[in-house]
Parts: sequence; structure tokens; C-alpha cells
Amino acid sequence: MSNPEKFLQAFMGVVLPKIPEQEAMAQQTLASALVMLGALPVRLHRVLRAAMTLFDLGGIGYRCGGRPFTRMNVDQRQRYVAWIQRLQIGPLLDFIKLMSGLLMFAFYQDPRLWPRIGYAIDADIIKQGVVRDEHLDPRTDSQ
Amino acid sequence: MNIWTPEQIHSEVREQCDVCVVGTGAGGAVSGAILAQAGLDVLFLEEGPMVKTEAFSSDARRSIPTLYRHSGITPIAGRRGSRVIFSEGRCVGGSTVLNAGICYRTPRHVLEQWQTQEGLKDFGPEGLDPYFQQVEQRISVQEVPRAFWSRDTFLLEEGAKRLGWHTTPIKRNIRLEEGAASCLSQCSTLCTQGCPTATKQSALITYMEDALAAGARLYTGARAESVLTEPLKNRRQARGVQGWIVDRNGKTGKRAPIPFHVQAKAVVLAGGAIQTPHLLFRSGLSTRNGQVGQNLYLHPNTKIIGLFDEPIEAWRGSIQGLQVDQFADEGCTFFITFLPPGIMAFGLPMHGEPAYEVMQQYRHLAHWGVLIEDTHSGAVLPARGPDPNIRYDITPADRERILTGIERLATLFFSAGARRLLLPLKRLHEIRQPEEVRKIKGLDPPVSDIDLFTVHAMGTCRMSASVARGVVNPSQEHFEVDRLFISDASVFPGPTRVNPMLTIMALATRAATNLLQRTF
Repeated sequence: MSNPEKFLQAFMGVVLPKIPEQEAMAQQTLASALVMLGALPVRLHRVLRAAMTLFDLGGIGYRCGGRPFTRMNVDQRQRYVAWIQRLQIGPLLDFIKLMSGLLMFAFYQDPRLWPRIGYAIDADIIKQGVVRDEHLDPRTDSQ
Repeated sequence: MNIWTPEQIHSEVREQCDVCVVGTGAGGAVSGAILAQAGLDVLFLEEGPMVKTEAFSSDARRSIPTLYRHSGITPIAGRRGSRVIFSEGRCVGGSTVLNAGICYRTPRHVLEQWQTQEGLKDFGPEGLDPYFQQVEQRISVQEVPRAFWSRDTFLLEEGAKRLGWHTTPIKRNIRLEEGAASCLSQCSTLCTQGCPTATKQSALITYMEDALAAGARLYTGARAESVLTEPLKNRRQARGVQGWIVDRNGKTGKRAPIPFHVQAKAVVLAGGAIQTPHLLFRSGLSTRNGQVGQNLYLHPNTKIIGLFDEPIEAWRGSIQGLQVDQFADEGCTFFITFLPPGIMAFGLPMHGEPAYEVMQQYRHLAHWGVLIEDTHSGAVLPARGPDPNIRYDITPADRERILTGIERLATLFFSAGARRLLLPLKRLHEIRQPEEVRKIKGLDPPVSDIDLFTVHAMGTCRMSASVARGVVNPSQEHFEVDRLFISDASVFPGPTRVNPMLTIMALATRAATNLLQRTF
């Protein structure tokens, strides 16, 4: 049975590019994506959690080793997601897009990546780290 | 001290005031400030946190979940699989803290239509002029000087000129003082996370400051659960608001929920066109005519990302300075916006290595949108639980309008020199040649295949002179509940066709002025 943290961690291997900083950024990416997930409307949050479980279980029937998504290796995960995308089933595409969107948001918003993409803001405009850290609490409780 | 946060509250809250204002955005802040400055005892209830200018962060991973309701992702579903993602603020100052600060007066023909359709006698441009003037002065509305335009604003202008399309300069609520230039030349991407330089004159640093200076009180992290009423002959009368102290996600959390009760002589609801009808339903205050929650308009919009050969660095310069209004009469307007890296990546049609390849060209990206005037309305329906049940269909006519808008926007991009476009369509991610623009309609995509967004929700508690058609009367007072006023975009009789902030603020000024004539 998948939980959001395990699932997002497994999904990160599919969504994020392979760059040297990736490992250092992974924990923060996961924490931020979980915060975003936790703030979604309660009904959507419940649907996503159910979809994560089904997606994970669906991996058992997939030919790459016949195991849950969260226990596949990265190559198998990538093939699985690509196969699902080829099926062109709207709700599944929406699910993949939202999950990858949350992770991509968290990843590309990490200032450590910005020099690689040429993004920079004048230092005198940035007031770094001033929204208190409790807002980055990775808990996903929605009740 | 007149501001309370959830961290300071450990037991049940009981308060009394003259006027309780629910919400501190464009409508609530203006109403509360005018009433407090007139000497009334005003108490604000705001579900979100108070984040001051010096605390705004360039790190969207922190600011988005803090300042936006549902991290900016509220899906609004409709028939045929349509989905519009709605974003709104949930913080002191509301969406005025997070928008681009575009300030349009309601177009003349829209006001005249409202006047005729709903019997709103003083609603012509002349009748509302004093209120618009008052707001424009307070929030410093002015055209964005060309010196502060971003590079892609010039590209938009050049592209439109080549096509012979009409453009109009944009007015924004900005304070241009010495030293402000460094802000406007550098922070296009930060507007949506709270202006860190106080250049944008949001309600947080204008009307809320006025209100608090005049003695108003503010509870943050206070979610209104219901409006309290009492019988009055064969009607009802508002007598306060009750609710819960909530956490950063607007939820009561696992600890024992802390209730609050505010006793008031009048109540002003200003939670926006989604939350206000939801609160009325929770309070059992829907009108006999069934109009609460109906007539929801969204101005659905969609975006194209364009890649140019030249580095644009579109984050340098004012977020918007110009719009293309050649097709405004057909309900279609083109605008510029630019997004910080994370939000840009969120909207990409691909992930993994292909997405990274696009993001490496971030300096070459432009992000333009098309805003559609909807011809059909949706509804906020009664719902159990904390989130409203929202329905909004994209009709075949609106779908056609959206696809025409995407085609024209793609044409504009190529005319401006873009070499590759990323489209908001599930089955057509990109095109690279002007000839490929015809593929957009040729594909005949269903509405479920189009990525749609909105930040403009309007019209769920319609103002009308007719009891049969409206939720509030021309003074913005509930038809069936005395002393319950509504002061947000929900009272609009229809879509404004332009950014609604200035209309909300002008109507809030008018409503508060009228409220002051009442004796309690």
C-alpha cells in the first residue's frame, strides 16, 4: 500500500532530470511537494491518495517485474509511466500531470537550480527565508 | 495591539463590534477601512495569515502554500470533462497581494448592460465615477511607463503591429517613487508571491493599513463557519458571525478546535465569489428565488509558452504593460504574464529530460495568455464539508472562442519572432511553424484536452433591483436578511470582461458609503 511520501519519492525518479544537484535537492523537493499536496482541497486530496494507491497496485500487473510502482527500479518506473501516457486515458493523464507538476514546481523553484537556467533576481529585492519555516512542515494531514 | 494570530489564541473567542467584515481582500479591506475611518468599531475575520511586505519570499515553495487557498489549485469541473483551475489569495489583502495589479474601470457597455438588465439606477459610468476616482487615488493607479516594460512587452507590441492589431497600455496600482525603478526593472516573477518592495499598492498596504490605523481589529486564521441571524418580523436580521480558528491550510487540525463568536450590528461578507455563497449556504441563508451561488462567471484563460532565439529575461521589467485588445468585442483579449521557474515548470506539457531542456532556455521564454469573456455561467452549489461544490461547463460556443483565441495567440507569437510554441493542449504539445497554427482547430480538441485557468470568479450573489433576480439589492444588502451586506465580486450581475479588482473596490466604496447612512 502506497503512501504519498513513498509514491512521490518513486515518482521523482521519472519526473526530475538527471543533474548533479538532483540528490542534494531531492529531500527539499519531496518536502515542498508534500506541503502543496496537503493544502489541496480535501476532496481532491482524497481522490489523489486513492489514485496513488491504484497506480501503485497497477504496477503489479505491468510486465516490468510485476511489482508495485514504488518497488520498481527507475527504468521500469519510466517505462510504466510512458506506457500509461500512451494509453491516453484522460483521468490517468491528469493524475500524472498533477503529480509531475507538483514535483516539477518544487524542484525548479529551488534556488540551487536557478544558476543552471540563468534565472537571477537582484539581491536587494530578495528577502530570503522570511516566511516562517513552520509553513514547510511536510505533514500531509488534511483533517 | 489590534491584530490576533492563531498562535496567540488558546481558548474560545467572544467579541462584539459594530460591523464584522469577513475577508480582507479588495472588497473587505475597502469596506472595513471606510467604516472604521467613519468611527465605527470594525472587526475583520481573515482565514489566511498576515504576511507583511518585509516577509514576502522569492521562494514560491514557501509563499504559494502560505498565501494561496489550496496552494493555488482549486479545480472547477464541468460536463464533457472540462476543468478550470482557479487560484485565489487566502491572506490579509486577499488576491490583491498576489495579482498583477491590473486596474481597469468596468467598461461602459458592461455598466449600461447591468443598469438596464438589473434596474441599477446609478450604475452608469458617471454614477460610479466618484467611487472609481476615490479608489484610483488611494491605490495609485497609473500607466506603466515604457521605461519599465519587459523585453517581451516590446515583442508583443512589435508582433501586434506587424499584424495590424490594436494594443492598449495597461494601468496598474503602483507607486513610482525614487528607488522604485530597481523594483519594476527586476521583479516580474515576484508579483504573484507578494510585492517585496511595496511598489504594488495592494489592499494589504493601503486600505488594511488605513483600517487598522483607524482602530479596526483583525483576527487572522479565523474561518467563518456561519452568519448568525435572529428573527425580525417576517424576515431575519444579521447579528454576528461564528467560526473556527484554523491552521495554515484553513483546517481546524487535530487539536481541539477553538471556536469564535462575534456579535455585530451589521455583517459584511467579502470572501469572494466562491466562498461567499458557500458561507451563505452553510448559514442557511440562501434566498427563496434560488439565486445564491448561481451566475458564476470565470473569464477562463489559457497560456502559450513561446521560445525566442534572443534571450528575453522576461522577469526583468513590469509584469504587464500592454495588452492586445483587437478582438475585445469578440470576448478575447491577449496579455503578458511571466512566472517564476517552479510555476513555469508546473505548467509545462512534458516532464523529465524534455522539460529540463525547455527550462534550460528559461531566459528565452515568454508566457502570454488569452482571456475569454464567458457566455455561459456556472454555479456554486450547497456542499457538505469545508470545500464548496463548484460546477462550470465550457459550452461549445466558449470552446470555439477559446480555440480561436489560442490560434490567434499563436499567430501573434510567430509574428513577434517566436520559433517554438508550447501549447495548452493535451494532444498537441508544440508547434514550430506559422503554418502549423491551423492544426489547433484541425485537431478539434474536446474541452477536456485544453488546460484552462482563472483568477477571476464573479457573480454568484447577483445585485439587482428585482427580488426575483437578485441576492442583494442595489445597496448590496441581502434581500431577506437585514444588515447583511455583500462586498465582493459575487455581486456582479455579469462578467466585467476586464480584470475585476477596480470594480470590486469601487462597488465596495459605494456599498460602505451607503451602509454609513444606516442607523444601528
